[in-house]
Amino acid sequence: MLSEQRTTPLPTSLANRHSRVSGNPPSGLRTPVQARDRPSRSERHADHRCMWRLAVFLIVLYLLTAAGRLTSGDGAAMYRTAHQLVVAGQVAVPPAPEAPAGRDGRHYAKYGLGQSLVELPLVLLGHTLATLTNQPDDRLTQFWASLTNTFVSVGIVLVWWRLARDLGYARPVATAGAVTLAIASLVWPYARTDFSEPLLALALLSTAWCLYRWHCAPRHSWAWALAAGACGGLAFVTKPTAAILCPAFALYVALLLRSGGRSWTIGLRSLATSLGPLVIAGGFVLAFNYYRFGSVLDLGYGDEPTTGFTTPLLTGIALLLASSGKGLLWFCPAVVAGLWGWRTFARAHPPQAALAALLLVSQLAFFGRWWAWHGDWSWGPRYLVAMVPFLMWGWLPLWHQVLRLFQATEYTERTEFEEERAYPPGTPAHSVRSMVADAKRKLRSYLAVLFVVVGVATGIGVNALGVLIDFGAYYSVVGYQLGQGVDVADARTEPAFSPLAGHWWLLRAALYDALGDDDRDPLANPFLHAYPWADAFPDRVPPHPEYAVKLDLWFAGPGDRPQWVEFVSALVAWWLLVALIPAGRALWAAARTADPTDRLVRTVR
Amino acid sequence: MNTKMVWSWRSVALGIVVLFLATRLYNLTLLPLLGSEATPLTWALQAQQTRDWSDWLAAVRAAAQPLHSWLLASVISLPLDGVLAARLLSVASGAAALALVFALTRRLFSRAAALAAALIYVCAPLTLLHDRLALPAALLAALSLLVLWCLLAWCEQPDVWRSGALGIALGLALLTSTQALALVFVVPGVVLVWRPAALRHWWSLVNAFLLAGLLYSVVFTDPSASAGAALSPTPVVAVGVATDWIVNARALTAAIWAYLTWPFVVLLGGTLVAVGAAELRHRLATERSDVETSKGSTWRGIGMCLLWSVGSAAGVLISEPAPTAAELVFVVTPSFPLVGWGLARLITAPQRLPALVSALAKRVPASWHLQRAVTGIVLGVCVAPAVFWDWSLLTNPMSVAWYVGPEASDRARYVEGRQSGYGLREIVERLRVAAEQQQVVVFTEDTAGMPRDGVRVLLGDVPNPVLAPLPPGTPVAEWLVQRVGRAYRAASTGATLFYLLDDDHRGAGDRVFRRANPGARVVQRVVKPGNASHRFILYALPWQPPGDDRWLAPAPRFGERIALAGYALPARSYRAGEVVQFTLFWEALATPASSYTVFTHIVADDPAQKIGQRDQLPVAGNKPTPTWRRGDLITDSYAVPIGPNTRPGSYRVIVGLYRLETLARLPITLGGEPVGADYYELGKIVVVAR
Repeated sequence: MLSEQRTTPLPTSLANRHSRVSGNPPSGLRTPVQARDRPSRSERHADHRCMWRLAVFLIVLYLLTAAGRLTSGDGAAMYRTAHQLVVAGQVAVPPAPEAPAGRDGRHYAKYGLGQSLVELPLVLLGHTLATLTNQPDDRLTQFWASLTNTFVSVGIVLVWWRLARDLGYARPVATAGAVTLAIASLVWPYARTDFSEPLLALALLSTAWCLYRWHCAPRHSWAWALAAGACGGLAFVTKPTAAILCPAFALYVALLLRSGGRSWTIGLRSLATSLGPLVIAGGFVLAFNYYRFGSVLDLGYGDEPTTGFTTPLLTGIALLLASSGKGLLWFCPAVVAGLWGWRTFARAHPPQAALAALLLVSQLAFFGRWWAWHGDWSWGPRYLVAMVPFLMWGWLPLWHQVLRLFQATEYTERTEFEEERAYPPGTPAHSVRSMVADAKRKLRSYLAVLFVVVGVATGIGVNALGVLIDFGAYYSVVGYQLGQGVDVADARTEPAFSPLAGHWWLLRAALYDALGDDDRDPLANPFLHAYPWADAFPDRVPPHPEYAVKLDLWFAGPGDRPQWVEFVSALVAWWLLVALIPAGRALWAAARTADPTDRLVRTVR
Repeated sequence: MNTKMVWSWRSVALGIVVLFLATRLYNLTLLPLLGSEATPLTWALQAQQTRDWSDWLAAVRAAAQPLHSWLLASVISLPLDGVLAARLLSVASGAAALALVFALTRRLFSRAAALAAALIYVCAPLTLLHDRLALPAALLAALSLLVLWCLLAWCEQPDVWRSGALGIALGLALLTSTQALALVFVVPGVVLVWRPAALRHWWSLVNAFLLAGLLYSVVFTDPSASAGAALSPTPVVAVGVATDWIVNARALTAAIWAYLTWPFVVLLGGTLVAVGAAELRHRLATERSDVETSKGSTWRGIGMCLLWSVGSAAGVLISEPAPTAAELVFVVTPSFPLVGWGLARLITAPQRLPALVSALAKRVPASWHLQRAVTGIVLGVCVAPAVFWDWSLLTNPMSVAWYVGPEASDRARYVEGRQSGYGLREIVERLRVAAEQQQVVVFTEDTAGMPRDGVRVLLGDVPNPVLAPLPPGTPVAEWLVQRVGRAYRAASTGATLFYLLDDDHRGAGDRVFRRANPGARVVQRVVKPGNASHRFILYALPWQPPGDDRWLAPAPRFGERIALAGYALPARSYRAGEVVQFTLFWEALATPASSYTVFTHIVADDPAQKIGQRDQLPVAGNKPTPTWRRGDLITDSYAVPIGPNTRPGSYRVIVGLYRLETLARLPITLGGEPVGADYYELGKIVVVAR
């Protein structure tokens, strides 16, 4: 019976424990190939079904909460590049603060080309529709382009889910973790922006996943190495600063090779194919810099790369992690809750844990020194968004522990069986030890439940604030309306001006307006002057807060839209809202489907 | 089933079809054009002579739904009289409704019930009347039945195709009338009655609703609607006026009595009572499973028809402030299967009576002929009142027993009142003769229906009549002096002016009109049938055009889409410092793509030497060029001050158009040839010494 069960893949931590008890090597670390046996056809089919349903659910959710417009100057510059590529076949854009003059006098966006390239299909679609419907401006094109990060973010969650499955986590665990990442972390609010951070996150996560598949594949498949190189190249093209993350990935590869017990020579030789895309991407970035600004190293930031690293390192790190207006701990509390599972995860998957830690350290060290560490105007710590999927890996053991509580028949049986071999039943040691072990296990599980509930609830709550209210609208109140020395900088560090409190204020006011009569006077809104700094700074009175009071959802958009757009927007929004029910039910059904090779086969009933 | 029976029911069905065609097509234009027919016909004419997409949505701008006028636009292009073609569309809709009544009844009950329901449909005065009028009632009824049919099909198998069909049918019904909005709420109830298990596929029903909504969204695509304005049309919901609902419900009930005749009502009520009693007895006497298998389907069919009718009635009562008998077609048609089922039962019941008597008397069984005779008598009693009514309508509409209510009556609507078209053809014939000799301008009251829309429809084939709405109390001469639109252009170029008035029998309208236009002369007067009826009065109006207008032929074209039709430059001699006043008459050949600014300069021989200038958007910015539509005539007045230091001499007045963003002027052509300048010279003025 034991030999039969050993063919079942275990989360590696469990496999280690199993090996200590049984004397067999841990299945997760024996060889990488055996970390997870090749799944059966039906299992693969069930995985595909679950992935599709997860994708549909998230697309529906993200489309429902999309902004439907360009949300930032950076995003507008990248969109202009994509638009120019479609319309004029060039990358020069109209003059803007984000688009300095290039070497030929024309203006170029100072950002990587990756985001613009990814936006191309939707820009092309929007431009075609705008042309067909004879639109006077490119608002329709902007609408479609703004949906790019919706699909990019769905891609992040899907890759995360796939990697979790490949690491050996059961389908319910992987799905629960993926949904947590999707709606309780910064991934959700950034899915509706036009920043390039989601694409960077997708590229980095895909690189990590491809490298893991390369590591697990028999004889180190060159195809996976090539794919990893391509994903790394995409990260570099998206944001050239991704180059600082190369050491982290190098160490990750080394740890993978070490854990596999295979020949380093063979491994590195097969990995060499990944250098091709990386070199091409690097060469492209340098050539693109030269084409735009006349120097291979000029990104368009002028002398900032030499003069811009002015923030004291520890101060920058502290601000990035804990400041009231930008701290990761406040804006992504799910990461904090997920720390509960990090010890288990690190023991089970040292290469992945090391990668996540190194990536975080690299980003903190780089952007903590940067003068614009905050990446304003944006929601939360923009430069750490790409790290969030890695930091959320701690949720896998956490969910594993929680879901085990609901139905863990097989798991319990096996654990008891292992215990019985070490301490035969009937002996006093067995009784005491089982009682203690049982109590500890239960305590840990209940604590895990607590962490999950708190983490998910606060994560959803905090990020819903970023989803429903436009961060630009709040910053415009703080930055433009208050004056008297109060500006966006205060919103980063002064708790009374924190966007968390500010968005909560605007959300209440917006809901009051939205749920009331249409003809109600917006200036009579009782929440309008209940701004969060009213007690601490009573002299700072915003003159026109009503300009910022609105839900930032595409279907509740500006009032000057044509009637048809208004009607169809409402219709589609209702449809999307209702569609969440069947999509959620379908995902639930697919995620709880029994899988003979999963540990938690009957986790959720 | 033996061959004889098959042939028998086929013969009956064929007879019903023949009866339908005969009753619908015989004397189809006997009833004159009604005002409520004329209005959708004008929308259809506008769509047929489309200038842009907004012409297709003329119905929407009048708070109506557009599908009926779209279909009318396609049928009135047939080589037939316009009114006849429009009514043929209703006949076709009625035929579809008849087929759906038959199919639904057969599906829900039996073939005999289906034949009876079809017969009732053909004979019922309500359906006969509205199948013969160019109103959307027949189309809406057919689409309502189509929705019900698609819903039944969806209940049986809720797949994507049937969801799509249901959504399209529902969308088309919504595009015909906002009353169909009630069906959206009735649909789940019907599913619950007919096949509750299908509600597990509610998501596919939601998709059908989405499709219907997307189809309906066409009404919001009017490019001339202002962005950000409240959505229109929105159905009027008379929430909180229950008293109005009660009044309306009573009026509609009276109309049902008049147009469906008493046997229909008795049959409907009797059927419901009989079915209720029978079902109750059956349920008490048998096991539940037996009830489900033997009678369940019939019971559900009855419930479904009732629900559909009641839901439709609620929709009408809530969405129509003053519902008319035409709305009854939508409400009543779904109950035909029910009444047909009752009639079929009633017909077969007396057949047993002679058989019973024969058996008791120990005589030979009742003959086949006797049974058929009894059937015929029952059938005759049921349909006789309706047949009498139908015969009156087909031969002499004035003798019909129209519904007469406390506040409004159909006798007034169809025969005696303002909306009746009796006599309009004679008036139009007179106008047609006049139009053959000279262009005519016909003024009418600015109210929907008669006579405004009637004249527009009947004069539709006459080239270039100008129709202008004007309240009867407005002096036509004063109105014309304001120089607005094509009517002024036609009048000032010598067109004959008429005013067509619909007046009541007391002559109040005539007095008001004569007071405002004392020089008007009555040309023709036609009294509608009846004792206290309205009448049409056609007046001829004298008018002398002002002498300072100049109409240009050929008109110079500015670019491709704008022409200068004429101008008025009343004075030619000025002193320095005075203001030169003139008027430009622009004609839109198509809607300009951009906004153009008009420049008016007073210059010496060298255009660069300006002594006066005024540049502005047309009509002082109130009518920018992108709002112009093909055929519009825009009267655009200017006052250009002459510089105080201007030396005496002769100067030119030049005008043109340019884009403000680029300052590029539109090129000018005359008769297709470029004139070689980017301005047009209106004429010369002389500045004299002070």
